[in-house]
Amino acid sequence: MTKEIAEEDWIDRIYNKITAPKTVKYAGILVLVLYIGLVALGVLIAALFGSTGYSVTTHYISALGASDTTPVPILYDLACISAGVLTIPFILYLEKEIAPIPRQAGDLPAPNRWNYRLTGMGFFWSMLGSIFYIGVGIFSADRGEIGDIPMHEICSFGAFGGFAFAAIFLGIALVFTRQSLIPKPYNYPIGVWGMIGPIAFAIFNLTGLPGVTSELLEWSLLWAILAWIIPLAMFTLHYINKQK
Amino acid sequence: MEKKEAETNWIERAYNKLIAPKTIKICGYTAIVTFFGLMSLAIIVAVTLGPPGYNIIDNWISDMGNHYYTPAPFLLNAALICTGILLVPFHFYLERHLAPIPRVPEDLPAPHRMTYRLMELSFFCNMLGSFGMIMVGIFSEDRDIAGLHFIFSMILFGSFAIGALFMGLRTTFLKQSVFPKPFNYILGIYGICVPSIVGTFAALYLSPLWEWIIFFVLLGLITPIFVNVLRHAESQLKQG
Repeated sequence: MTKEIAEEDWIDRIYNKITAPKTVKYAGILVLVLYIGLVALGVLIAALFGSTGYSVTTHYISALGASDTTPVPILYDLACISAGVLTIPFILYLEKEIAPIPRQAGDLPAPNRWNYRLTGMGFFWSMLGSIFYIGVGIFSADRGEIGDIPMHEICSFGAFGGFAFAAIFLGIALVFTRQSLIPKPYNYPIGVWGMIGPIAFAIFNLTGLPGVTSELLEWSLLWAILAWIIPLAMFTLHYINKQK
Repeated sequence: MEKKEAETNWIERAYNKLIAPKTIKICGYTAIVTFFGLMSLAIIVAVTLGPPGYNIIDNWISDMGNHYYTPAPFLLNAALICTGILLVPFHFYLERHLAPIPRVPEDLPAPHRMTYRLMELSFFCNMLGSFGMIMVGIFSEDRDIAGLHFIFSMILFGSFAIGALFMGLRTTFLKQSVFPKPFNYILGIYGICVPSIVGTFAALYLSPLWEWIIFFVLLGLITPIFVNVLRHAESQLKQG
């Protein structure tokens, strides 16, 4: 599906490097290990050594990046920045694999128009999520405001909203379009969860749920997004390994 | 770019009928006559026969769908519902011709990946805008249930403004055949800058005048796009 090297410009060359299976594989493994490792370590340190006794039912996720809650706020900041950066090759790869563009006669037939529509939307929201997640790490709770602008809140809304909306479109794509990334029947539970899980928890965060703290709801949204992204990443890595 | 008739299912056949140049031509002229005709009539009736004296400084566009301001609120509602429906084939047509998918080797080379991204985003926003338009007509000020009129009005203006941004980027920076040069640059840059800037002000200063301004700004973009699409569809018809 790639153009001839001679026809490529530098942007295409970078794009091809970023979406090369090897890059996506390493980025995928690294993001899983780094993100889950750093967040788990951040929670553990905050709970054991933090001055306020961190707990997911009483503390927002962002409190992991606040120096009055944890002695090492940098752990969560690094987790956000690395997750935001390392998910970009993964998003580009998903887009390329679910909606490949025929470059030569051998690549035909092209996928259905819906593959392009859904991955186009999924790509946009995922990129928005990734970029804003980098922003969550940069504008952590300690550096949350620039002047009167609540940068941390804006980035948090953008990140969670971006990933939740992306999950809807990519979930629909996994369930209803022809794709080879996630084999049947696994595409159905993963796709259906993507369509309803993250957005449902995002709505609960806005409306609130009786008897559940808003802090726990925020954590639940993160778990809902992880329950969508982790299997997707696993299957993508499996697919890359199979391609070799 | 089309599959052979025998290879298509009924959805694809309906889709092909919907975006056939002939359908676009019929829908296009009907939409122009319906929208401008009914809107002008709605304004004239509200200004001359409406009890409180309708004007664009003090009255929202939606007030023309309220029986308190006009004796004929159905004019605006009908204009919105009909235009919203008639715009749908246009969104499909633009998507197909601005982001064509190669189906046979003669269709190659395929457009750049960015073409598909921008066009699909624009398509989604425009479809949402059309949906909002139909809903604003259905849930008019007279039939406003649970604030749905305001919600759909925001969806209508917001979606078209964001759709214009993506469409502007597409027509300015990537190769296309629907809009002739240098017209594509003027239209594209207008689409990128004006609706989003004016839309932001309109959202910040929610007032009838700002609503009318964003309305005319969007009309200033959609009308030339519309005319160019009609011109393109007619040239396609001539080519057979």
